[in-house]
Amino acid sequence: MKLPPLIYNSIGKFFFFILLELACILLVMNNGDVQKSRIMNRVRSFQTFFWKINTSVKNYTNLKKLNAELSQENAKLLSLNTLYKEQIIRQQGEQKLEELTAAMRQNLGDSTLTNYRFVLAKVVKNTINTEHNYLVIDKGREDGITEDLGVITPSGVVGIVRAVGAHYSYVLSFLNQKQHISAKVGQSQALGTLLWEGKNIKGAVLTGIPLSEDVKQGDIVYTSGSSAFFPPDIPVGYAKTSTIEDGIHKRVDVELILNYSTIDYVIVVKDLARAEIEALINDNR
Amino acid sequence: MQWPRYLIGGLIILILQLIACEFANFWPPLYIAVIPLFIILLPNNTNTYLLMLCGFVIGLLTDALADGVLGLNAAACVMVAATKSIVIKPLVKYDAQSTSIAVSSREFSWRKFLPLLTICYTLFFAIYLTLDGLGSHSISFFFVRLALNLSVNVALAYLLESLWIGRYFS
Repeated sequence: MKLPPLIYNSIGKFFFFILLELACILLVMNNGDVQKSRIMNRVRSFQTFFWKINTSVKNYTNLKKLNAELSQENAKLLSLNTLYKEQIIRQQGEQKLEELTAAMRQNLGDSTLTNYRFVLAKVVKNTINTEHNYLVIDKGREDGITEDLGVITPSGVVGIVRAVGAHYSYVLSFLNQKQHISAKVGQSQALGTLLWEGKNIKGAVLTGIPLSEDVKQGDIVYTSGSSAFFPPDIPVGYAKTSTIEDGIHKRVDVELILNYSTIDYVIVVKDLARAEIEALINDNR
Repeated sequence: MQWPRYLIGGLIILILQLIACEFANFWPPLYIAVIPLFIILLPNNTNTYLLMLCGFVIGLLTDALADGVLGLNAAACVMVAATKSIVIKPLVKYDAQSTSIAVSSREFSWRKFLPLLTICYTLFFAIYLTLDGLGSHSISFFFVRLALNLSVNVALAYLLESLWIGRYFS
């Protein structure tokens, strides 16, 4: 179909106008620092809006899988709960279990019993294809998020909050060569440093394990809790093969439990004791 | 062939603009803009592509020579050039549009020329002030600044046009 010359001409003029205006805006951005930062802010807010839509669609299509994972998690927690109950009954009797359960129910929701506060957040943007990956989550300063908070899921460590906006936060992913996590492995809970080497998103390495420690294939790697970012005992991965590093340490290949490509929701961890600990360290330096 | 004449006219307007930038822009919220006059006063039948290109070039020259942010005046001038034919349509008769008469207060009456100046300058400052401030001030400040710049610049442009520039372009 041929367009009438008037419409054809108008479209041409419109595109020429857009072209010139874009050239002008690029010039303004390159020559005015204030204008550049303001324009980039606007562009980023548009980007976030589209990421949000994109993620909503992805989350919706992923619901079936998410449900299955949650059911699995639930089943795992139920079996753990039963195990703990049986242990208490075996060691201290049924009466003690009832007392403990009653006390727990009474204190349920009393957040002063724990050192951690958890904030659930939705992932708006998640990169996994570069050597320096990041996430954007939909909770920010107004939700009580601050910089340097740990971000986890029940099946692993996600990263650390590095920048906070009013409603969104930028999380430096664990899939980042700058990111190191304190972790423990095996029966003896030997401490080491878990890091991502940038090779694939399913694997990491645990370094600095003393030679005397025995690490078996299939041993679970947990967060140690000695860093200020993450609570202890979050399962991170399974030990695979171990090699000797520099003749003094063991280096263990770890298969990560968390699938970083399908993270929909994360938990931001606020360690309430952290400020006190940091103040103590600073005072005694 | 009128184009050398318009070229010299454009050059004079550019020099006037540079003088204004150097000596008359003493208060940051107020910007004296003469260059939109060049686009407004070019003949009625000037091709819109050419008009947009003229606006882009004179705007860019002003930005470059007046030590401003490159692209600021150019973006505003391109806007005026792109919309001039649409703005002018309801103000002049159809047959007059197809002739090569210059747009001036002598050819039009002041009743038509003043609204044309006001609309073109509104478009110019809408773009200029938006890019200049870019959300650093409140919306009310933007409108106060727009009203201030419009009243001063439309009055000045009308004065300049009726005293000299309009006669040169006609």
